Parts: sequence; structure tokens; C-alpha cells
Amino acid sequence: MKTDSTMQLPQLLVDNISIGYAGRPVVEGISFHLKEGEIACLLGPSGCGKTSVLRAIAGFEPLMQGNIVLHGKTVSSAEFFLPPEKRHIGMVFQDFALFPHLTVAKNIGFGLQKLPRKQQQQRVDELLELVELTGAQNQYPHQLSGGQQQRVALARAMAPRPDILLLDEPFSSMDSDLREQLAREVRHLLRRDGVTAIMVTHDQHEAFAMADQIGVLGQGKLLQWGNGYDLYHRPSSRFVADFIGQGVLIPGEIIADNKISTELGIVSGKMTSDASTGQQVNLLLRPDDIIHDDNSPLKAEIVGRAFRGAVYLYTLKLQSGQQILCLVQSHHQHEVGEYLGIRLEADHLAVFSDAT
Amino acid sequence: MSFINQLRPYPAFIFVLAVVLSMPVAVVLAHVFVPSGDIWQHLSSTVLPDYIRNSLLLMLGVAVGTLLIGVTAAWLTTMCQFPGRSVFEWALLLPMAMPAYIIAYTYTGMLDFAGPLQTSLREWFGWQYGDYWFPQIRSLNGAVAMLTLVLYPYVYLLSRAAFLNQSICVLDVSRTLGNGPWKTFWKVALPLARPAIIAGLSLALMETLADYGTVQFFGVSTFTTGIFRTWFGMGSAAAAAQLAAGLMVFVFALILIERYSRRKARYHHTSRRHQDLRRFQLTGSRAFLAFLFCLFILGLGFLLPALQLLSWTIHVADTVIDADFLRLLVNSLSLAAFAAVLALILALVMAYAQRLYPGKLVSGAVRVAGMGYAVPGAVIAVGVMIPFAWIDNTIDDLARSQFNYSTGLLLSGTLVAVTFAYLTRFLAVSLQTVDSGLTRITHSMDEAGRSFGFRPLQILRQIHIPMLSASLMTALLLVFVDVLKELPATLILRPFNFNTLAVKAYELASDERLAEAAPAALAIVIAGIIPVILLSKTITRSRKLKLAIDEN
Repeated sequence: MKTDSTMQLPQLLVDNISIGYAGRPVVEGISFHLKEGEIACLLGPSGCGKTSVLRAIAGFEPLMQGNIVLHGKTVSSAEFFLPPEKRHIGMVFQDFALFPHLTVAKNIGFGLQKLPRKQQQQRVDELLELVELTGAQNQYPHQLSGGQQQRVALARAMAPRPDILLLDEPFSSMDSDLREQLAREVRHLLRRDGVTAIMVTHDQHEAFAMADQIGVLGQGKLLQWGNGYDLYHRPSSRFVADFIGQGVLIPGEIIADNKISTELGIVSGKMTSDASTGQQVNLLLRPDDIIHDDNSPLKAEIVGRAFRGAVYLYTLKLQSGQQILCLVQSHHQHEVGEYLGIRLEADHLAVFSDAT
Repeated sequence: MSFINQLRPYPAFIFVLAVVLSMPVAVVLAHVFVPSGDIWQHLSSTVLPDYIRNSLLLMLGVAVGTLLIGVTAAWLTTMCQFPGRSVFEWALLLPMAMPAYIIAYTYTGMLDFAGPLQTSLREWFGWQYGDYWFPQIRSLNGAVAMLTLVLYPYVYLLSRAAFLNQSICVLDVSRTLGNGPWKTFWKVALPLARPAIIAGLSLALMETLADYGTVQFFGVSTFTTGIFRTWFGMGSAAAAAQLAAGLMVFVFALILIERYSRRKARYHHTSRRHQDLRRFQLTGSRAFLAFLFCLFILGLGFLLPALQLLSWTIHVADTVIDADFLRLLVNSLSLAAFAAVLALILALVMAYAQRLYPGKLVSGAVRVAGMGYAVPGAVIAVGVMIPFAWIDNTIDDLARSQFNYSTGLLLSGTLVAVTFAYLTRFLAVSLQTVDSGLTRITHSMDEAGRSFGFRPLQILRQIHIPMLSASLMTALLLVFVDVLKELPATLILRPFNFNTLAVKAYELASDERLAEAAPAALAIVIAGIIPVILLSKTITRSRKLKLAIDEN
């Protein structure tokens, strides 16, 4: 993961860091890097340590081991610790943490106090325009809606042009149907200013909408680093396969390179990990890998269905009792108990041996 | 429609209660328009400017003192880590157990010419009387020091709560925007806590205005001592009531400030999600200084005077603790218990009225009934005395003219008058406690009970009483202790020869029999520790709760 493909020095280098409380590590051996202007996301269930990584970059958590290098300067190591106010970072918090006693403009200008007054005003105006809050500059945070408060928090963090922007679950207090849209808007804003940013979230849709690169964390370890497509179609571990998207694992045997024999017949596709012929494996089947086909000789009993608008998500039972998921366009109506003709169409074969 | 709704017997009863309980304040305020002739002229040309000046200076001094001590102590114990911090966190509330008049006479005993400090100084250095200068404790400055030492916990408590409630994120944001810890305190933490600090300060200042024992003992003329002097010395009820009304102007100003600050504090609320507090670890000399500061405050405000009282008590135990003292104890405790139970019953009646008849009228009536908390005891005493005397006289006149029989004093100078004064003053305390307990029982809990087929009485027994019992107990204890400590109202209204611990301690101290006053004073202080324990329990409970939330 440390292969530097570009000539350019990374804006942020996180090198083999471990973080712990009272000697008990909560995060172990995490490494990744970000190029200037790149937007990344740390994704994982609650308690996986993602927020600790973010706070370590911000300078609120000391390291037990490893280095954090920001803009070419080591800011944290096991021996050295630069306090947060000297790191030149920006941070957006889960609850926005706006200063309730200051107006919108004063909130945004809070980090600019070292600049001459005129430049402060100029930068505040610029940001008010960027986050479309011109006209609200003299209002107090409690007079704003949740979405507006969030934009103020973002503008405040961006105002001093930090080397990196850190976002800690910035959408978690929003309505769930707003989150993706907001994530896209924020991405657009960051892109326009060329801001390097890391977001932490447990919501994969937010992560997909926002980030170029996504790191999946589980139990304090970085399990996979890649874009949304890779995480979905080429998960490197069972944990990632489970955590991202829906799907089931069905048992099978590798009979040749890129060929697996399963209860659904022989599947061929590009295998995402090395496994030798003859090995017993579990194959990940996403609901979109199973195609509804009335002409297929392969039938499975419908044991459940969930209406998803454009599609139905069917739960099907195979002869062995193994259950699989299948997406079918919703104008095909089938009742529970009926048999559905299906066929398997997977490009990528994500297989896991029992051990992984 | 809603008005007719509220005219049913129960809410109507609440209105009557509100009218009766607000009578003392109303009487005092109404006396602004009653001519009192020459006495008022005389007062305003001679002593009134003094009263105003002294009251203002007293408030100014106490404000500066309680702010410095209270805010510093709150910041140290919530945001910093140093040896002894977790003990100081609750122990710094202990001075609340010490009524100001008691600490005042204790320090007088310790610091006076014949006290242990000056005596040892003379012995060590061989000084004689007049050889050296020693600060005069019985002065305005002394009163400021005494009041500050026992009133800073109000500021401490409220600013501490404000610091705890500040989302740590807000402080973190300031750090990420380039401010160090010190600058963050001045630019973010302090401005955010300002409404809470001001609310705490107004409470401390209300107590300052209500104080009678300390200023009287130190010979500082303020409104409260003036009320006494006018009442007893000049025998003018009307002029005393007018002085009381003057005092109320200050009190009302403080109430307004407090209300306004609390409203503002709501907006200054930042977040319900808290990061675990990561306290600044103080080391070396800084940790030592923090420790010393807290110990110093605690020592001066509680440990030292309490030890002095204890040593006096041990010294005089043989002669003072006798059957008379026991009767005094029984008198005080039973009166306080009686008033506390009565206040609790009234509070329950009012709180349930508010719950059953939601609406502006009932809640307005309840608020009027509970407004006495800010009114100084001396003012309430005057406001109770005047109408009660009028009722007594009217009945007496009537009986004499009709039956040729004198009824004498039926209400004034009886325990009825004393108890009534306690109720008007302390009902708010139990009302607040009961009310906060009752709001935790949501209406949907009642509805859930009803859906299981419970009748209202069953709901009361199986849901309300178990959930309320802790609040009810707290309400009882708080009023009990407040009554026990109350001095000026008891002093004016008590029946002839009826003494309480507070009155006895005050009388003996006034006669310079300081050591003999100690047992009664110590009993009050020990009782005063009860609410401190209750408070510190809520402190640890809220912290445990917060930890539990953080674990999830």
C-alpha cells in the first residue's frame, strides 16, 4: 500500500501507526497516503477505530507507534507530537461544534485572526459565497437549519486553507435521504477548492458519493484500500464483502483457473484472489450476479421478497437449502412459494477459503 | 373555552394558593404607596444612602470574589488533571453547608484580639495591644470575605455544569484553527459558559442581599439590618415595608438577569454528544499550585471554621449540651420537618395541577406561588407580619364589640406565622425538585399504563410513586435544611421564647459568647452537609451516565 506511483510527495502519509488507550491498542499498523487534492474516506462499523485515526492526524491522540507526515513534515510519531493548533489542519465535527456565541461570519473567520482585517473579511465573504450563505453572515448558529450549520462548519474549517481537511461523520446528524446528496455537494465544494480531505463514516453510500479512495477498517486494522468499485466487486476479505453491499457466500470447488463448480453450476469469471485447483472455497454472490431468466433450467424457490421501487429483492432457496439474493425488475411479479428461473452471471469471482 | 376549563375546583384551588402565598410580597410592594410620615423622610435623609452604598459595595465585592474563585475552581476540576482533583470536585461544595452568619462569627472568634491567631502573634513577637496592625474582620471587607467563602459554590456549580456541557469538539475546533489551550479558554470556553456563570452569580448575589446575620454581626448597615432596626427600633411597620420594597428592587433586577441568562444559556448549548473529557494533565509546580488553590479555598470556606466549631463544641459540651439544648434540637428539627412535609404536599398538589391542566393560567399561578425563593427572609417576615397583625386585630375588635371578649393574638407570634413564612420562601425549592421528577414521567408512560388497563390510581401507585420517590425525598431534605438554616424570618416571627438552633446560635454569638454558640452552629452545619452530599451524588451520577454513553 505504500507504493508511491507519482513523483509528487504525498500530502499526507500515514505510516504503520498504532493508537491505544492505557496500553491497549485500538488501532494497529495502519498505513495509507493521500495525494494533494485527493479525497479519501475511512469506512467501518462503529468501534473500528476510524475516528481514532482521524483524531491522531488532527493531533488529539498520541501514537504508540508509526509516523504521520503532513505536507512533508512529521507531525506525530511515538516520540514526537505537534499540538493540533500548529498542524494547519481543518476539522469538521460530527455535531458541527459551531460556536453558539458567534455569528456565522465570526465563526467562519475564527481561524483567520492572524490575518489583517481586510483579508479576513475578504476570505469570509469568499467562503460565504462558496457555501451559499451570503446574507446569513449576521445570524447565529441556532437560527440556521441543520444543513446550513453544516455548511458553516465546513466553511470555517476551510477558511484558513488547511493542508488537509478532516471530516468526522459530518452527515450523521442529517436525515438519511439527504446524506448522499450532501456528500456529493461537499465533494463538489472540496474539488472546486482543490482541498485534500479525509472523511470518516460508517455509511458506505456516503463514502461512495464523496471519496476517490476508500479505506475499510475493521477491528482496528485497515482491511482494504481502494475505490468503491473495487470494494464492491473485489473485496479482499470476508469482512469487506459482508460490510460493503449485500450478498451471500456459497460453497464451491475450484476446478480450473477462473472456474468454480457450485450448486448453481460451473461459474467462470476473473478470480480476485489466488486459489489453487481442487480447493474448497466460498464464492461471494451479489444480488446483481443472479439474473432472472424464465428460460433457465435452474429454478429456486422464492422464500421472501422486498419491494425496492424499481426492483424486487428476492430471497431464494436452492435445493440444498442454501439461500441467495436476486434483484428482479419490479414489473415481474412473483409470489412467495413460486419457483423462479435464474442464471448466474458474475464478472469477478470473489472467493474466500474457510480460513479467511 | 380553556378558561372555563380551568375554573374547576382543583385549578381554582391553585389560584387561591397562589394568591395566599404571594401575599407577603404583594403587601410589601403595596406599602410603597402607604404614607409613613416623617420616618421615611428621616430614613432617606440619613441612613438610606448608607444602606444602598453598603449593599452595592457588598454585592460588588462578593461578585468579584465568587467569580474568581468559582470559575477558577470549576475550570481546574473539570478540565485539568491534578492530584486530589476527584475529591475537590465535590468537596468544593462543602462551604455551602456553612451559613454565612456562622462562618462570620467563627472567624471573628479566630481572628479577634483575644482569638488564637492574634494571641499567638503577640506571644511570639512580644507585642502589646496597639503595637501592630491587624485587619479588622468586623467590617465591610470582612463581610465580603465571609460571604464570598460560602457563596462561591453557586458560581462553581453552574460554571462547572457549563464547562461539562460544552462539547469538547468546540474546544477541539478552536485548537485545529490555531489557538492554544490558554487562548481557547479565553476565546471559546469562557464566553460559552458566560450565561451559566452569570446565572450562578445572580444566585450568590441574591443570597448576599438576603443575608442578615453576617452584616448585623459585623455592624455593616444594609437593607436587611435597616428593616430590623426600623421595625423593632422605630416600631414603624410601614417604613420597614418600604425598605423591604427597596430591597426587592435589587432582587427583581437580579431575578431578571438570572432568567435572561438562563434563556441565553439554552442557545449556548452546543451538543448532546460528548467526547470523553480529556483533561489537561498538570504536572510539577502547576499541579501543585492547582492542588494548593483548591485546598486553600476548601480550608478557608469549610475545614478551618468547621474544626474551630468542633473544638469549641468539645470545649463547652459539658455545660452547654443539656436538657435545654435537647429541647432546642427537638424544636428546630420538628419545625423544619413539619415545614418540609407541608411544602412537599403543596408542591405535589401544584405540580400535578400543572400536569393535569396544562395551560398558561395554571402554570402562571404556580410560578407566582414559587416566586418567594428570591425574596430575602426579612422581607417575607415583614410581609407576613403586617397582614397577620391586621387579621388578629380585626378579629379581636370584632370579638370585643360583639362578645366583650378579647381573642388576643391568634396568628402573629405563633408557629402558624413562622411556618407560613417558610412556605412562601421555600416552596419553590420543593416545587422545582418535584417538578423535575414529574417531567421524567412522560405522558406516554401514563398512556402505556392505561393501555394495560390500569386505573389512574394504579398508575399513580405503580408508575408515579416509584419513579418520584427519590425526588420527593430530595425535596423534603432540601426544604428541611433550608428551614433549619433560616435566620431573619424566624427571628422576627417566632413565638415569644421559642428558639431554634439558628436563632440560639445567633443570639449567643451576638452576646460574644462564641464558644457557647458552637454546638448549635455545628448542628446546623452538619445538617447542611446533607444537600451537599445529594448534589455531589448527582455530579457523580451524571458522570457515570456520560461514561456509559461514551462506551456505547
